[in-house]
Amino acid sequence: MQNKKGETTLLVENIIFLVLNMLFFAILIAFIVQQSSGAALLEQTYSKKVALLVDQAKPGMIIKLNLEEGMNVAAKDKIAPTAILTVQDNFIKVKLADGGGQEYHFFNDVDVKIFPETDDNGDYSGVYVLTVNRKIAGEAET
Amino acid sequence: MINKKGEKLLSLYWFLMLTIIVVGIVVMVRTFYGNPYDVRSLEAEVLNNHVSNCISSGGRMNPLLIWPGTGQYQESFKDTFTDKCRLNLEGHNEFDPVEYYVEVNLYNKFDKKSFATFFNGNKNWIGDCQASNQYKNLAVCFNSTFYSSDSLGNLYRVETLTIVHKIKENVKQN
Repeated sequence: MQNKKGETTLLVENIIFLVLNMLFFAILIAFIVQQSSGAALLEQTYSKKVALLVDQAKPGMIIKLNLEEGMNVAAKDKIAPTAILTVQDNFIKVKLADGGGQEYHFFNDVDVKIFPETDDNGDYSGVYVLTVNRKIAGEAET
Repeated sequence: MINKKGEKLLSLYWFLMLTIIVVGIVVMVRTFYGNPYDVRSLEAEVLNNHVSNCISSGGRMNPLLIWPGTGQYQESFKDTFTDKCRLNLEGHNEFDPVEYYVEVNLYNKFDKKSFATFFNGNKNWIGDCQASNQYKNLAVCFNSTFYSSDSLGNLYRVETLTIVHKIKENVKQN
């Protein structure tokens, strides 16, 4: 009887130990995932990537970018898809959270227009279209 | 009694181990994601390619730089270099320091003295190229040399230097 009781206690202890261990590692992985997909990090990554893409682009090019992950992050703060990725004065601006936003300068003196792509139902797909054109002297940027 | 004491000691040891692991991982993750991505070396290379393509496209010197019929160097190219090469190196406003520097030296074949030099951007960053590249708080430089010819078959050596500073966006500020 004593042996059986002892065995049951040992089993329960082991299960608690295993569950706690799993919980610990789950929290740790959740922390790493949360850190790696934060708005600030994505803003920085997107702004630099897009600026470098524009730097290498030639007039007449149309570039399509999938920013679905960023759009999901921005949806939490109700940032409009049209406000996520913008261009102004040779700066690429990315905004995925309230009060946040990151910008990066590109040196290629071209006229860049950005708009989010919509599917057949009119919903934003997370894909952004960049059109690169030769800058016309005196033309105001939008 | 001995067993219980041993178990207590073991759980304390285990708790200590977990704490060390958690602190270690948190510090590592924070350090890794806390530092901005440094894309300046890439940017300097892209800028260098952009300028090189403007000076010589497809192995032929830009006709606005070397006149095709006569092989004459066009002095006016120097003043309109940034416009002709579609470069915008300015920041948000005129008081912001320019974060780039571009310099092009043109040589006749194997001459040691360049017959034309033109540049644009902030000259203050040139000094950073001489320093060791182990310091992150310095501008990043990229040099390239290539040969090109004009329509008459004259050979030119083109040396380009591009520098990107942009420390604020690419290096963690302490």
